[in-house]
Amino acid sequence: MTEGNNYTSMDQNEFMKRMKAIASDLWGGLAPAEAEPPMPAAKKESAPAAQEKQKPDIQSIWKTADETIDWTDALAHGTPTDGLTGPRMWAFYHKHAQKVLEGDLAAYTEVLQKANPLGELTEYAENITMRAPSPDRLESRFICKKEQLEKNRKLYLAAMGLRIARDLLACLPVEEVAVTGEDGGEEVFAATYTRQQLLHRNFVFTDPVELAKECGAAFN
Amino acid sequence: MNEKTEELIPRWHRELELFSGIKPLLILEGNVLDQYRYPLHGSVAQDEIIPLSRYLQTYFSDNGYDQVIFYSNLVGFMSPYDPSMLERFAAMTGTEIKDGAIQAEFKGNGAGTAPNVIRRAMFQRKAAAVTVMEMASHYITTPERMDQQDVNSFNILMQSSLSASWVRTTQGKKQNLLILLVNKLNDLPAWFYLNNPVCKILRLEAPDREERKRMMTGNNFAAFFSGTVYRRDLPYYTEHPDELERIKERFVGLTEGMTFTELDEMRLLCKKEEIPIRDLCTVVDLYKYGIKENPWSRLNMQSLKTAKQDFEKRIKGQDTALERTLDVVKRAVTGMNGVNSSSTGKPKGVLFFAGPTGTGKTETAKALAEKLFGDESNCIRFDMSEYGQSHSDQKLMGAPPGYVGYEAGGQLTNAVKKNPFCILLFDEIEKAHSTILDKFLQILEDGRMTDGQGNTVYFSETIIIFTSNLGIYVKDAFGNREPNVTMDMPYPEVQTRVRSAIEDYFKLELGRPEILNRIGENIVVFDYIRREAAELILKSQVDKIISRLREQKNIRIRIEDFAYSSLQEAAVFDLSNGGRGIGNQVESLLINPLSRWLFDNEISENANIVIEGFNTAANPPSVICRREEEAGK
Repeated sequence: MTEGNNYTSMDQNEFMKRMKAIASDLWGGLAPAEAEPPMPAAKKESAPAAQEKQKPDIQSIWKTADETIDWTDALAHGTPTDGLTGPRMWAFYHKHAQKVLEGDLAAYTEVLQKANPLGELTEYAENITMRAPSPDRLESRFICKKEQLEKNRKLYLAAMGLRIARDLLACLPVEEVAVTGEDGGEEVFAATYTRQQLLHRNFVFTDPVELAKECGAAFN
Repeated sequence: MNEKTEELIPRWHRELELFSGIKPLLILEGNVLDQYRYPLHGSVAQDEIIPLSRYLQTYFSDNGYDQVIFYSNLVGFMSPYDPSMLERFAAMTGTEIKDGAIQAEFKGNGAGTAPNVIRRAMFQRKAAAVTVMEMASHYITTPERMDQQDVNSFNILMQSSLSASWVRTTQGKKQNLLILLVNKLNDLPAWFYLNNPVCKILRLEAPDREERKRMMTGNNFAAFFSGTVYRRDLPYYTEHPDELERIKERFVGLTEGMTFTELDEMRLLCKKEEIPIRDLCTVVDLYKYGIKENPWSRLNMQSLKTAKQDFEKRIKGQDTALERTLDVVKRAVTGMNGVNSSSTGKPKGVLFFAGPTGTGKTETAKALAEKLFGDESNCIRFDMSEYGQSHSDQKLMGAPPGYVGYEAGGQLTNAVKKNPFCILLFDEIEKAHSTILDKFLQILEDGRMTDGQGNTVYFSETIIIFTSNLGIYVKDAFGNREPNVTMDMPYPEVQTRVRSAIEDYFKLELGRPEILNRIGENIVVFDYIRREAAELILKSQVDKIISRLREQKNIRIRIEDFAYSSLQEAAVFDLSNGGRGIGNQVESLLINPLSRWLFDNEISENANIVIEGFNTAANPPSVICRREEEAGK
């Protein structure tokens, strides 16, 4: 392996273990019943990304997001239909789908707790919270990390805002997500992202600052 | 309740239930690559849409079979839904699992070949086993050219089924089963299934209306929409269930003939595009043609109200024919087309234009295309005299794989693929070969056609117009051609005689009354161009020439009254060639002599010309003209 190569070495056992895990998930839980490992606190199984994610970077954090949870499929089918979601998580979705699609706020809260859609972003903020005030809307508030804010204030705020919005819109069938950023007890960022604005957009080529402005962002 | 459930079980499933208890060899033929709705309560949810393999696995394991094993000649024996079954199968047949499958070739008669493994499974009495041979159409190249090893393989399978054992299970006695999934029955050697007393062939069809309706019920319907759309729209439709029912009914009608896979793909498209419940049916257009807004729905009712007047500017003397044509269009626009039929996938309208030559049949089709789609190039014309050979259907629909021209596709199917919103004009339909008429039957009935490349082409947004000169001449007792109608007959008599001759042609001469039935009451008989209409046609053509010369060359032409009368007399003297004949006369009596006179007098632009007379008797005819000085000069 040459110096500077990004690949990490992996022994054969580890490789086989991972392949087995992938295969098990691909069969959608139809493999022989084995004792499933306990649900990790992080959201790895809950919302699989379209491709294997590398450690996110604030410069590109908005370019990836969680896969949308298909609530209507979860309502109609007792077993995973996407070949990506694990059986236990799907069973949880299936159980809650009716309530979620009725806009039940208690069900929303339970899903947010279990799916933990913003788990991956915790290292980029001192604290992140989320709540469901209405069936159409989710709200999230994050306390900024000083060093990130100092490096590139606008990009940091907009990147966080967009990524939070994408993850929450993927998690629940709401129309909009309001994101607020705070620093030293003061509000430094606020924007409301609607589903319509984010639909069919290629986020690789999206400028998060511009989009935040379109979504009514105020950078203080 | 039980009765209702019975109705929703497809026929092939009922046959499967019935015959899997008595026949050890089942061949499932037809739509085997499709997905299916599981109709029962069991280890998958009722009404879930699942692949056929999972369907069979669920059905048989829920009914007491210990092992449901799938075989493919590429992978071997496997059990993707329950690997423990494969372990038991391997132990029972003395085989070994490697990389998740029991590898076994189809060919030959060695102990490890698939047929011999199946034989062991069929003979044993320890556990009830079902072996499903997937992709069985592809085990051999062709049934006609099998080598001895292929023959042996099928022979072993046949013997296995002839002596299949019965096994005691918790749900009663079960016979070990062998199931083959094939696209077409003739992919298998005929001796394998013909006169085989233990074999039953089940035909898998695309979902019928009830099946499609079922897909629209309960939670299956929810799965058509994104969570956001469904959550937002559902409260309204809970309050207005009738409206929801109408949307579902329409969708079910529009998806006639589609497979479950196609329906499922539309479901995904609907979800991806966040289509609201009220616009559900637009997904059908989106799926078929890649567009959301159908040009038919954009049609301006107001412009259609004046359509007759607009048409009369182009087509003279055909009041009744234009009225009948517009009736069909109005029916299409108001969505009344097909209301008396279960299929809404049929073409928007079908018209059969009959009548003497040069009476405006083709012109009406072009005018209609312009009115409906804004451009007469949306009228796609096929001269059916070019399709008189028995193989002409391939020219129209595309040659099958392996034949010359296969890559090119068919002329008709390509045209409709390129522009699904059009008028298809089949000129002189009586000259087409009868095999083509069979294809038309399918288009008129189902509104779809699969071309040689396997692509489905939809005709549901087209208007189909056939034109014909049938009924103008008939053959007498000696086989001589004689006129059936003449210009001195009144229009009602012309209409009756032509219609009657067309009916005789399809019923008696062609022996195909079903074609006539598909055309229904849409035979439109065009009248002869009579004197009054002829004069209007002449005037319109002369005016067009004069205005074009003025616009392009600034040459102003005035025809003296007396001269115009002599032109008119000559032009409308013989109306046997209809409007086209008048056009020929205008060219011969006006255009050619006038251009000769302009050339001889070196006039190429900016002039005022008065035509004082026509010498129609001269050879070639000539004009008497003079040049007027322009005002102010």
